[in-house]
Amino acid sequence: MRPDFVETTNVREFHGVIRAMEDRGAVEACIVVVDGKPGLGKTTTMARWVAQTGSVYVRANIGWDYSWFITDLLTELGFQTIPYGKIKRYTLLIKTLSDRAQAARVQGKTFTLIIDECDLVSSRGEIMEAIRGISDIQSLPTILVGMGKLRDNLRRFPQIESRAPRKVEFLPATLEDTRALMVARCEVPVAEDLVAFVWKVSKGYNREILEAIAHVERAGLRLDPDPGGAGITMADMAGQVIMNDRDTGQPILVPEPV
Amino acid sequence: MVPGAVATRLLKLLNDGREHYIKGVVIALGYNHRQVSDAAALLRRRGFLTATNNGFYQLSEGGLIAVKNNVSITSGPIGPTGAARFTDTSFRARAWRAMRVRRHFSISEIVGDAVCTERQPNSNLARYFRALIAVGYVIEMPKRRRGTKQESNGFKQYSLVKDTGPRAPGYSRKRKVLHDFNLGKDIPCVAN
Repeated sequence: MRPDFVETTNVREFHGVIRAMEDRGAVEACIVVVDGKPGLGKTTTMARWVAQTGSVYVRANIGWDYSWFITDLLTELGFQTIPYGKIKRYTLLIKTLSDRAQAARVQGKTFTLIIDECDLVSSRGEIMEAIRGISDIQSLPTILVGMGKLRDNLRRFPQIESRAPRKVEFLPATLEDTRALMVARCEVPVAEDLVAFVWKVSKGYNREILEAIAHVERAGLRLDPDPGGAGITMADMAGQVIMNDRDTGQPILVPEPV
Repeated sequence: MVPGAVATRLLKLLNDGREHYIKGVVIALGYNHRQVSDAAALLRRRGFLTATNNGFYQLSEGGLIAVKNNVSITSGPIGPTGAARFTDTSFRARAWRAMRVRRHFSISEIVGDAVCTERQPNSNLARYFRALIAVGYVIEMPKRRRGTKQESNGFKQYSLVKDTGPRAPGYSRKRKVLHDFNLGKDIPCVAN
């Protein structure tokens, strides 16, 4: 399977929102909420974003209190020795974030703060207010990543909700996304009927689509199809496993042609 | 004071190539004894000053040439030190960042996240992984993901088990160490 990164609808929307945030009118509206069910590509998107931009990435911890949160951020910024005292830590944090953001701007890059698994702390006012404060002071684009409760919990904090007018909900892949993934990642060509079948049975979950690509590639490399041909069809894979059902764990077979 | 200023002045003072008594040099330069002896040590390291003999300084052949060429002594290394240099824009730095987000990954997943224009990212990353595995930062998982080619043994899966911070450790094949910029130390590492 080729390792190429594919810009799906979700990824394009995410990048579009970040770009729009950089052009934003309201200086304090710099929080983006990214959510969606597992398996829709959030981790891959964040991994690539962090890798390419050098953004600060922290994973929320259910045990976080204000102090721990600030300490984790400072550790993530590279500090092995954390100063003693709330004011000193906060001042150091703000200064360092500002320096990093400035350095990124000089290079024409986007620098963001990403807090993953934010659902774990999204009901805690102390942490959410700290995030809002850091984001506001720096006008620092801050991405809160979650799975389900995040958006609902933010409604309890209107002063934060108002700063997160942009929300990116990762939705199941479209047929076009599935086709793009299969063209880019699969080492054998895939016919349209099989693309449509993969999309249907995967229900648009990237994880399942990639699993299907592995099965298609395995079958295709055995069959050794004509590189200029239409590609592997449903008939070529009839009776073979294409993926496992995410709900039941049972294998899904490509149906025999009628 | 500008680094190297005393050493430069000492170099010029000794330009006749003869032995000079240290006390006279100290008086002539107007610095204290410690500053002058530090400057002399610096010139000795550069090969410009011969070994002193009971408090006498004399320029070496190299020192005389340096004076003739109007060399100024500055701070900083005078050649490759072999020390690892950190850069956060390299392919491996991007890969490290991706590894820290994913935690469990294959080489191809990290390549997909980190690649820009590198020509052989897979082999580059495989070498880096071998170094990280050798020092226990990354482990290879017991189960492989099934491969797609008939002769494939499957795709290795890895896990980042020791995340020391945001800066990617640097592997020096020459010195056989992994330098961890987060901890500020070298870890002996013999990776193939």
